[in-house]
Amino acid sequence: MNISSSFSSPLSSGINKPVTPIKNSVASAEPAYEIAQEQSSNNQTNSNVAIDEQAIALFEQNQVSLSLQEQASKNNFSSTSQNQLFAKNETAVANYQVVSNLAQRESIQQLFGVDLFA
Amino acid sequence: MSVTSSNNKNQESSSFWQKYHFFILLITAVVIKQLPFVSIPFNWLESYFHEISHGIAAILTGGNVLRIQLFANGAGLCTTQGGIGFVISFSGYAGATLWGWGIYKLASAHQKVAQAFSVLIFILLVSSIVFWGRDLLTWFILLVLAAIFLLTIKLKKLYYLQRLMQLFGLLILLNSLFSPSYLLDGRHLGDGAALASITFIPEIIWVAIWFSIALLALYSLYKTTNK
Repeated sequence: MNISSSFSSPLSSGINKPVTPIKNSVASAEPAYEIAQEQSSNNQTNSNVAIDEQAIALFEQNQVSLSLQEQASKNNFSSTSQNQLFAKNETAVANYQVVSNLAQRESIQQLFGVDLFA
Repeated sequence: MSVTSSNNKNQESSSFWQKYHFFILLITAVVIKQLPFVSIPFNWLESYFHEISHGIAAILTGGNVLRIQLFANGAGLCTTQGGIGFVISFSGYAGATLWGWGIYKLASAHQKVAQAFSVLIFILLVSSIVFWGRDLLTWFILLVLAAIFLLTIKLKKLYYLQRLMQLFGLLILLNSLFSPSYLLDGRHLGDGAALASITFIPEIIWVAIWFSIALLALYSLYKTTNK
């Protein structure tokens, strides 16, 4: 009992351990000590499998979160670059409008005989 | 003895004020013009009298005023239709000088005259809000100026109203003395450039004329106070 409990404790090292349980061809006439040892080893392998599954789950979770983060950063980068492009376009349009407004203003001034004094 | 000595001191201080009050007010005006936030409404005041002079010139020469715009930095625009372009262009700086000189002169004449003139300017400001102001900023600036003149009208002691009006007159005059020099920026914009294009006389000559008129007005006020 002590042995199994001591094996089940290191969860983090379970990732690189073999996942498949060790097959035992042990006869029933084996002494009690051996049975106990086998049981304990079975327990150990079972606990190892359990640890590995958890670790894999954690690993997969990490992988998923990492890939999500990467995707999000890519999206962010693309949106900021898009915003910058929009801003550039807007300033360009505004500049064109200022020029056209100036011309328009002059034509309106000439048309209506309006004078501006600063 | 003590009563006579205090009377003598009062007489001395009043004679000092009578002798130098023009310079005291002039120095006060110069100091106010240098103060960062306090000077702003007085810049608006000069700008308003400049634009209203354009407007009055347009009306007097057969045109009409469409809009007066005032800006927070002391700039202004007057949109007119018809009238004589030369007179309207010239009257901006010259008119502001005349307003400054007139306000000081009338305020010095009599306390009641000072009050009546203050009421007249208040009415002119309110009329400008109603008829010529078309945007929020201009309305706000004109309201501030109207409030200043309303406060001077409400003053209990007319003596202080008189001094305040004299100070306003000098502030307007000082502004119209130095503002034409801002036209010499090489951009060929503003009243000087407009006059230069009408008369073919260079902009600098017009700036010099406006500067001389303002200087003459200042000298005239100095002479009348020392009589």
